[in-house]
Amino acid sequence: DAQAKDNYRWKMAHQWPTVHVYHRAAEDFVKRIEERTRGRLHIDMYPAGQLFGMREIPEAVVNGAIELGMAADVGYSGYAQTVAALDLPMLAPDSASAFRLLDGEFGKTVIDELAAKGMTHLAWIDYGPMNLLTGSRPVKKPADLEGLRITVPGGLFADAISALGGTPVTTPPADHYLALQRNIVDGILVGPSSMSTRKLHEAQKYLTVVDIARPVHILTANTHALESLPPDIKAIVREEARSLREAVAAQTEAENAKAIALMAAGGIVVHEVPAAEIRQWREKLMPVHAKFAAQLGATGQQLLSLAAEAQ
Amino acid sequence: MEHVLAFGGLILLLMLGLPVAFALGATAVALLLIHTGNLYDTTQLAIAGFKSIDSFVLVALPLYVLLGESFAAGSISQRLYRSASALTQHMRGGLGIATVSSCGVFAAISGSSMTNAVTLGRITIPEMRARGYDKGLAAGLVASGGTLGMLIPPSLAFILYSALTDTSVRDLFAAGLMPGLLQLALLILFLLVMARIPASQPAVSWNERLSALFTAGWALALPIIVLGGIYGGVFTATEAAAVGAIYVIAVNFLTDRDFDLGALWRSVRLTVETSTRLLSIVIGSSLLGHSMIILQIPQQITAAVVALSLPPMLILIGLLLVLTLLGCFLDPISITLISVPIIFPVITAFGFDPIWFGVLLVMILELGMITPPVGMNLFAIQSIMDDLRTTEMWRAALPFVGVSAVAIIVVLMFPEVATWLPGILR
Amino acid sequence: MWRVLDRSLEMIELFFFTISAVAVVAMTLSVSADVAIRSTAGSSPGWLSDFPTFFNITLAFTAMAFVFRRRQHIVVDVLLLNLSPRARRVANIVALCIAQVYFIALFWGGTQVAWRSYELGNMSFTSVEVPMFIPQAAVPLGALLLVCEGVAQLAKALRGDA
Ligand code: NA
Ligand code: NA
Repeated sequence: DAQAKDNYRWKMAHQWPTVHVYHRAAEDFVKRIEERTRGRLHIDMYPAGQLFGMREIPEAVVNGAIELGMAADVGYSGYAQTVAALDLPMLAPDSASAFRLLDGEFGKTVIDELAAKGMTHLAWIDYGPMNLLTGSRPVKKPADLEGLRITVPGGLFADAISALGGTPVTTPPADHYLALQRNIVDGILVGPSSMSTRKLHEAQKYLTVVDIARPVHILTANTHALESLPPDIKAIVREEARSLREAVAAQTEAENAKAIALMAAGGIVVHEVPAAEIRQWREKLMPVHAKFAAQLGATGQQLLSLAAEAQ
Repeated sequence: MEHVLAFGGLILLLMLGLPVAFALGATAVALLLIHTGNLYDTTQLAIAGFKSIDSFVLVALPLYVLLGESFAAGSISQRLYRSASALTQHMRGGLGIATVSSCGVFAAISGSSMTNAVTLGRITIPEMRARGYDKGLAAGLVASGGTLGMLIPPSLAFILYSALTDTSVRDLFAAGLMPGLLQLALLILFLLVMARIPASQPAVSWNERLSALFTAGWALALPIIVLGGIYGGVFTATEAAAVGAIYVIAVNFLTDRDFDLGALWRSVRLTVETSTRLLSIVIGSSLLGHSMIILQIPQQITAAVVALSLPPMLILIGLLLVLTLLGCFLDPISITLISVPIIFPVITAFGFDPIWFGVLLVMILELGMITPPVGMNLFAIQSIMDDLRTTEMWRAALPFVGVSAVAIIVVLMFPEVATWLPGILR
Repeated sequence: MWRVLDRSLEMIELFFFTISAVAVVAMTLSVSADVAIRSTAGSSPGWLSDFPTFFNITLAFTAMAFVFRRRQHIVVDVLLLNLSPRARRVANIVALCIAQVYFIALFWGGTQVAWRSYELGNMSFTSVEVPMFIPQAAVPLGALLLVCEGVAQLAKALRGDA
């Protein structure tokens, strides 16, 4: 029985469909942990929201219903207010600088708050930038958003759309396709790979590539479960989480470009906002940063100055 | 062993007369506790149970039930009934055909099959019975007609399948239409050829028909408002339920002097009863789905079929049979989430058309809505008919299970039924 | 004494049933108001579409016990119809005992989850943030009512006055 005592069986849940490259990366993560621990840690994977969706994954991790969970940052924001900082519009000009922020004091603030709630942060998972998909007219400058109802995941994304002059609405994900198809909303703010896997472009006409925000997904472990592992297994989990992050990051840009190309081939008119015009979008969006800082007080202010220093 | 316990245990609890909702939940708890031996694991059932109701799409259920209840409570329903009689009484099976066709129209509004059955059932079953239709036939007809909600676009089942498999929603919607109409035609054929329906009556004059139609104007405006609002981009199907309910209640107050606040409160109370009966089953069913996923039961059964060394077509048929078996016990969302990630790679590896398979899957899910012991549409009908025992409901559903099976076999043998329309629209 | 207890339980169940009826009215009104405001003013407050889901959760969990008391839940009667009254009574007692497994598990698990949400300050995803323990409390509350109702029915069945 001594051996059985040393064996661990974990559950891991995520929200990506199995056809997504991220799922394959997650499968590799699980497989390599099992190989390197010689089966002492076996992880059952539950993909595609089979067990829990984005909203429940952090809750399931906190309650120990699963040991590992990977979900969009928004999913964690109910527990940790600072997570919202990851959704701040135009926080970093590109993915590399965004990750530098996450690896520094900025990211640590979020990690500490997650830890206080019983979740150990294992990796930031690149999701790629959020962009605009619209149906009634192309959006080339912020003024084009005037009067358009745009579906957002809520929170700071809603503030961002308001700041740009549009009207944010939150529609449940199950209703997105039909709401877009029937013009109940005029567009959606989401990442291109989600647009393409969820076929939202079939119901719309125009894509605006302006990289409004760069939210991330977060891989976390139930702290109690992680701490009860022997040190060597724990180290392997952490190392493999790092590899998972790198495997995803290496593919995100290509996946993003592939999704945009696929939609363009499907008849979507793509408008890439020229670098020179980004500034006028950014200026419109800055009040969102101020509002965020006001809501979070000293911590919010500190997060913003950390972000400013990094620029 | 756990497989036997999962399916056998549930049947045993149902036979003991435990309410279906609690039998599902108790089986889920027992499976999980036996599997893990840890009471603490029930926390995940609490999370899963909360999650099963924590969705805006489900808000449509009580709202549509309220629409149906307030419709049935006012004279608006009798006027619709008189108008339907005047228009159809000279045709054999006319009212039945009108009922199934309205299921088809409602399917173009709602993406769910249970709301379809419960709403139309409340409106049409009393009418059919008053006209001499057998209680079981009326119940079976609406339970079965309701399943069109998933096949005729829009359909939440297709949207979920698309997200899981990277297939086109547009193609899936287009592919579902012809099989949906085929099933509708088969239902009408069954009604005319095989069912015992009341004989036709002499036709009434066109004047009478027009005046009956006129008095039912308020009722006939309802689908126009709802369809117009949805397709005109004013509201979603869920929101349409609330707008429709408010409309019906307002019409009742304006045109029916017997409809007072007391009558409204009675409709609301009936809405709570019906919704609670169905929502408690939705909770129990998702919990059972959750436990089965944790125990990997459906995954193992499916994997066993895939591993057989048989020709692709036989494997496909085997998989469809497994899905049918799962359909007897689980709800469509659980089945899709559990099975598609395992089955889909196999289907594409064999070179089958993923759109065609999507349609077959949804048709099987529909079939599962009317197969005992756990058939959500059967429960939906039972929840609005006080004098219909389970035994009667199951017997009534049997011929309609046959009709659905015929439709599935046709689409299996002639994939063009599904793939033709998306092909020409592409 | 027993009568008084049973009667009080019924009143409590009826209270939550009535709350659920109010929830249905509130759902209908807020969804319609959402549509009305959106189509006249262009946008509507987010809580109008967020709260109906909470009302639905309240309805689903807290009205269950009263519906159980009135024996309005859907039951499979295939076997029951062929049993003698005595055998039916035994089946009922066994069924009520097994149902307790579900009720207690839901109560216990639901309490854990809601309590943790309270402890950690978990907030909802809605535009007007609500502490999650409030809607989540519907689960253990509904389950507790079911535990009590189950016990009451068991007592009646054992005394033979059911
Ligand atoms: Na439909
Ligand atoms: Na079934």
